Amino acid sequence: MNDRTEELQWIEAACKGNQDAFEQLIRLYEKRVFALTLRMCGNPEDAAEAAQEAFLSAWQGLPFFRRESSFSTWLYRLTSNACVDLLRREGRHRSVAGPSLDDEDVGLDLPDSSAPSPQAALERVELREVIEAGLEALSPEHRQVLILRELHQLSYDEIADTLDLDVGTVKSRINRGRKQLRNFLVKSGNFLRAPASKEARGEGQK
Amino acid sequence: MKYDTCDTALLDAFLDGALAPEEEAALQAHLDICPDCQAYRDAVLAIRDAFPTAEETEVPPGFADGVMAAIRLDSRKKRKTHWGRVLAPLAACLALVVALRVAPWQGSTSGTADLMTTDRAAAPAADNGALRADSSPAEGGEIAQDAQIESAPYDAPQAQMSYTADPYDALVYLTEEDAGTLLDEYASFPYEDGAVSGTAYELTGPEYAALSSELSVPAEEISPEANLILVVVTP
Repeated sequence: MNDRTEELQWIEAACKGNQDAFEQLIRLYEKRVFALTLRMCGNPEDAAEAAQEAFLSAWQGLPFFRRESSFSTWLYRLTSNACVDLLRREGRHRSVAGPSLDDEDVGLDLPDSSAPSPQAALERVELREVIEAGLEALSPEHRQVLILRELHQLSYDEIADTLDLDVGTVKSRINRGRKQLRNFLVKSGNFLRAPASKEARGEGQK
Repeated sequence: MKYDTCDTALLDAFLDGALAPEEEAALQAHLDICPDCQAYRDAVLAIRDAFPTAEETEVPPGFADGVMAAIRLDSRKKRKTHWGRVLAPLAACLALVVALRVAPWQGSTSGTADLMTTDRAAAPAADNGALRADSSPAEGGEIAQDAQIESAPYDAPQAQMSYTADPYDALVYLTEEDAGTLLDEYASFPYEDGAVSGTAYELTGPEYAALSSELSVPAEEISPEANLILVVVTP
């Protein structure tokens, strides 16, 4: 039996109230759910709370799960909602509002001024740390679409479905988020060239 | 179709496989001759290559167990709803009876007795009694039949709390300040449920009832026959 079949059987059983099957689903998805809550909530405690909330909502909602979307898309939607609820409820907007990163503006204050020399070939793991920092500096909307795209590898349509957005909005958020992230990496010395100004001109001519 | 100008949104869609074939071909043609777009592509691919992955995400130990415990507790409460309705008005009256029933237990419960006699007058600060009981006797139609009464403190340390059996009747969260040294004589094990972490102590209802006066928390919240876990939350 392949993994997919097994998962479908767990979903089927969990819909009927089978707690053991649901536990399997939690174990299957917990990393992916945490990957999102951790970066949306900004700290492990809130991330755990939001993740738990997402799974509890899933358990309560399973009898009504209509399978118009896949289980994963539905679960990510609940996860996203749980993060939004938690941030709203607790008023924990500190890291969420974040500094606004301009798409085009490269060369302002760096969060990490002890950035490595631009010439240094950064290890992938180091680049990852800077990506994490860059994600944190994005607005939640942009951070979320990038994570769903790059980490969860959802298509534009699936992201639109997850976040209840139209595909055009997803596209523009991905684009804006990526440009901001890239600029962040340039500012922190991780990419050598930033033809952002040229790019801006190109876009202006559209 | 031909692209003369740089359009990173289009390039993004290209890199995300969201373009139609004819658009893809046109964009590829532009990309082949445009250094700026090549640089953007390289950056996107480098970000993609180094992007955090779900596999590396650290999930707190016991997270799934914690969620399942919450689900089981919730489904119990639901099963007991009508008992709750029936018993709720009686709860206040029963509270007194419960407190009285606890009394004979105190002498016969070794852990409690020890604890009472070796009390180091560590009366906890009675400020903000940070206590939360997740179930109350008013909802406890089944508590009596579920409970396994233990008269001595649990003394087989576990690496981690397991919820595979029917879980405990109640979880009580305490601050370190509330707990003071009162629980030191009870066997403990690390506790982590995804929401809080700390040290857990497994107590029977009578043990808890005896302790609760020291802890400045109301004994009537918990059935004397309940099995429960006190969790001293690490801030």
